[in-house]
This record gives sequence, C-alpha cells and structure tokens, in this order.
Amino acid sequence: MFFKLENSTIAFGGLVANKNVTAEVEKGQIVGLIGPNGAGKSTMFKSISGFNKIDSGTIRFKDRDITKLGPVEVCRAGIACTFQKAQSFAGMTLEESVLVGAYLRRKRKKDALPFAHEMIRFVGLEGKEQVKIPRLNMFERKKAELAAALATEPEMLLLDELFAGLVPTEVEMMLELVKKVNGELGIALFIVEHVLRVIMSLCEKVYVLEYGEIIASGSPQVISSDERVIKAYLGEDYDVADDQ
Amino acid sequence: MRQSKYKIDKRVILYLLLLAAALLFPMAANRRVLNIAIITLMYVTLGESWNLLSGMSGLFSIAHALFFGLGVYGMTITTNRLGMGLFAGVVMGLVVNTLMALLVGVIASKLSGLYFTMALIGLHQTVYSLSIQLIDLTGGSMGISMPREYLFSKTQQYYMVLTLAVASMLFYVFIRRSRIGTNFVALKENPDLARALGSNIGNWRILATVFSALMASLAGSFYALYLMSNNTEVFNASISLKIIMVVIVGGMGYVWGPVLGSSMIVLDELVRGMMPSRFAPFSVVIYAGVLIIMALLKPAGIISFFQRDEKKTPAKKERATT
Repeated sequence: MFFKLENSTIAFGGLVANKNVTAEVEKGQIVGLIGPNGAGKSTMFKSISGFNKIDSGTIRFKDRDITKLGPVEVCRAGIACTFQKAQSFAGMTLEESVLVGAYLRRKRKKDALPFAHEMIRFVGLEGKEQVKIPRLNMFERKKAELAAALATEPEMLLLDELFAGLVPTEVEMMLELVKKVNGELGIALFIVEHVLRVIMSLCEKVYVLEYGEIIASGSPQVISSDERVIKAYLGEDYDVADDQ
Repeated sequence: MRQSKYKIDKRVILYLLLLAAALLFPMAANRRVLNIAIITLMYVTLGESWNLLSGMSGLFSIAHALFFGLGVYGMTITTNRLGMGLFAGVVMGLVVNTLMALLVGVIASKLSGLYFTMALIGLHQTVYSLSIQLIDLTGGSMGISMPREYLFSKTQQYYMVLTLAVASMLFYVFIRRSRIGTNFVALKENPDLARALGSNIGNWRILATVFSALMASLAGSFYALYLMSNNTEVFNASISLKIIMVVIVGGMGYVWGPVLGSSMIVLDELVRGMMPSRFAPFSVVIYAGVLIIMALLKPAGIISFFQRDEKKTPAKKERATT
C-alpha cells in the first residue's frame, strides 16, 4: 500500500470536521477530493501533512505509520503540500524560496542551487530567479509554491485548490504543468479542487466529502452519476458529458 | 550578468576604501573621538548580533543586554575571581552564553511572539537580580575590576573592536547566504510554509539564538576590557533599547543596517557630552522619539534611502509592456 488514510476522525471542539474518513492513493496515481465548502477537505489534507493531529485513525505511507508525525517529518517522509491560500516567503527571491525546499535533501548550496534552478525551469519560471516573490503575479506565485514543494522531492503531493483564482487560460497551463509533474516526475497527486474540469480531466479516482464524511468514491464518471453526489455538490442538472 | 559583475567590483572598492578609512582613523582622532568610535563599533557588533536573531530569524529579542552582560561578567569574573587569562575570559562568556542561548532557544522553539518576549524578559530580570545579589561572585552593584595588566591603549581597543565589528558583519553575510540563513529567513517570513517544506523551525530558532548570543558575548567581553570592570549597568534595559534602535533605525535584515543605525550612537554620545549630566537619563526619551519618528517616516530604516525604489521601477516596466 502506497498511501492510506484510514478511519480518520478529527473534531474541533464540538465540531466533527472529519468522521471515519478513509482514502487511498496508489503510487503515481492522481486522486481527487471534492465536496461543498466546509465539508472538511482542507482539514483532511492538513491531517495528512501533519499540521492537524487526528483524534483517531491511522495514516500509512510506504508501509510506515506516519499518523503522529509533524509537518517536517511528513515532508521528509515524502509527502509535500501546497496551501489553499497561496503561501510565500515575502522577503525572498524566487530562487531562495525554492532553495528552502531544495535544502531538505541537499545540505550544500552547490548541490541545492542547481536543483532549485531545475525546479524553477520545470514550472516554467526561468528568468525570474532573482525576482522577489511579491513582484510575481498570482499564477506565478502558485507555480513558485509548487516549485518549492517539488524541490523537496516528494513522492506524493497534496494540492489544495491549486487552480483557485486562475483565469481559464491559466487553468489550462496549470493543468499541463500538473500532468507533467505526474507524468515526468512520477509524483502521485492528491488534489482538492472546485474547478470540476480539472478533477474530471485529471483524476483516475475521486472521493466526495460531505459534512466530514466520504459519501462516494470512484472514477469521475461514476461519481458524477451518483445521486447523492449530484444532490450534495454538483447540482441537479449537472451532466458529466459536458465536461468530457 | 557581465554588468552586475562590474557593479560588484565598484562595491568592493567602496568597501576597501571604508575599511582603509576605519584602519587609519585612530591617527586622525583624539581620545574623545576615539572613545565614541569604540562605543559605536561595539554597537555595530551588538546590532549585527540582534539583526541575526530578530532581523533575519524574526525572533524579537527585547532583552539583548542579557547576552551582552553575561559576556562582560564572564570576562571579569574569570580574570578577577578565577585568576585566569583574557582568552579564558572570552571562552567563559561564550560558554555561559551558549547555555543561556540554548535555554532561550528552547523556549523560542516552543513559544513564539509575546510569550517568547515575556520568557526572555523573565530570564533577563533573573540574571540581573543575580548579578546584584551574588556579591561574592559578581561584586554586586559595586562590581569588580579587571587586573591592571589587561589595560590596553585606546588605539589597541579601537582595533580590537573594529576587528569584532567587521568579523560580525562578515559572519552575518556568510550566514545570510548559506543554507542556515535561508532557513532563518524562511522561519521569519512564514513558519508554516517553512515547516511544510521540511524546515525544522524549532532547531533553527535555537541555532539563531546561539549564534546571536555568541556575537553579543564577544562584544561583552570587549566591553569588560574597555571598562576594566563590570557593573550591573551592562544589563540595563537602555542597552537593549539602544541595540534595537541601532538596527531598526539603520534597517532590519540588512548587514549595513546596524552600521548606518550606529550613527544614532554617535549622535547620542555627542548629545550626552553636551548635556549637563543630570539630564543624561533624558536620552532614553530621545531614543524612543527617534524610534517613533523612524517607524512613521521610514519604517525600513536609513538603508531605504540608499536602495533603488523597487516599487516604482518594475511597475513602470509592467505598464510599458501591457
């Protein structure tokens, strides 16, 4: 088993944000997670990445129990993440912010710097290495955050609404980039997304979360024809054929 | 790329000229001017120390005199009470400061923001009280003096502190450009993102505190030689305030920040020289005033006068291309 989150339950005070959530990701797979606002998607991602401590359940990654690990150890184990709200190091250049990730597995600058440059090229931001992060636009910042996460050399990447706030042409470009991350680097992707086009065209498997519980899972086609999912999330008149 | 190389060359020439001027300075200066220069350079060292912890790593140390004072007491106690040499005195300061920094750093790795500041103030007050109470060891409020054999001339002291200041600047630059500095800045800018990228911010906080304390300790060891004694004044909050002022007025997070900000120390020494001594405590009000004015008018410090206005130029370019 590559990655498995099993019976994860987490409550904040009286609010149960995740209840017996189980999800699996195979090596190199692209898996989606959808659900209405407040369903507990980000909570679930944060428990995987170690920012939230789950109350019960287990998280296993590559035959290792990572349930109790914090963010630093989870990242070291090979799971990187990007945040729902684009995060950055405001005082840094693009180059240095990617270096932060590159330094995880490369202690020396002469090893880390070429690798950081490679990742910057990979996301298509070459030529902007010395630009300060606040001077990048939203699209570039998201790519910068992705480059930094890739620089930690993850085997699985959690993308929390990477496409949110992008205009349609940027969504297309980001889509190509994400496919490249999966195809060329062989990184498994676990994606939270509201842009359904993305989910439908990328994912082999989709989980649907509602009120903290997984209400359906399966291929995008199966999901989009599931009655409960349609009611809960897609709306009554959604037709999967439109998005294929 | 070629152009930037040329620019660096010009800078190197400027740095060498500054260094030459600093080296020749004692020939042109009288004793009073030399004294001011010594104190100013000491604050450059302390400023770089604070800059590393607060400017680079984002841990706001409000009681930096703690580390400085321990350096002073390490030196005087080792030479006077233990009868050992100068080198032992410096090492004593470094060892005690490492232990103190580990304690502060561990607190910083668990607590941040206000709680870190409160813990630091608590430790500072404890050490300050001990320096008064442990009379047999510290000499209490009277202090103890250094053996006379360690009295250096003003010129010698100047070169010592100049070495210290330049070394601390080089150390700051070296750290900033290394893996350590990148992690320090990452933990200051965005601790959560840093953690998500596998940067163990707790450990980096401890390391930043230790480095900073060691730099302040060396400045303290030097100050003991300068005063030839210790007294509890070295733990005074006004010293912490001056250190903070030097960096904030100069420019936080820049190696030249403390150098530019140390002009405040020159100003302070000159003003105090002119004022009747009973108004001396009033100088604290001046620091506070300067800090407030700088925070309002130039929050990025004096250094922002020397920087190209980043906000204006690229925006113009963007407009031109669209």
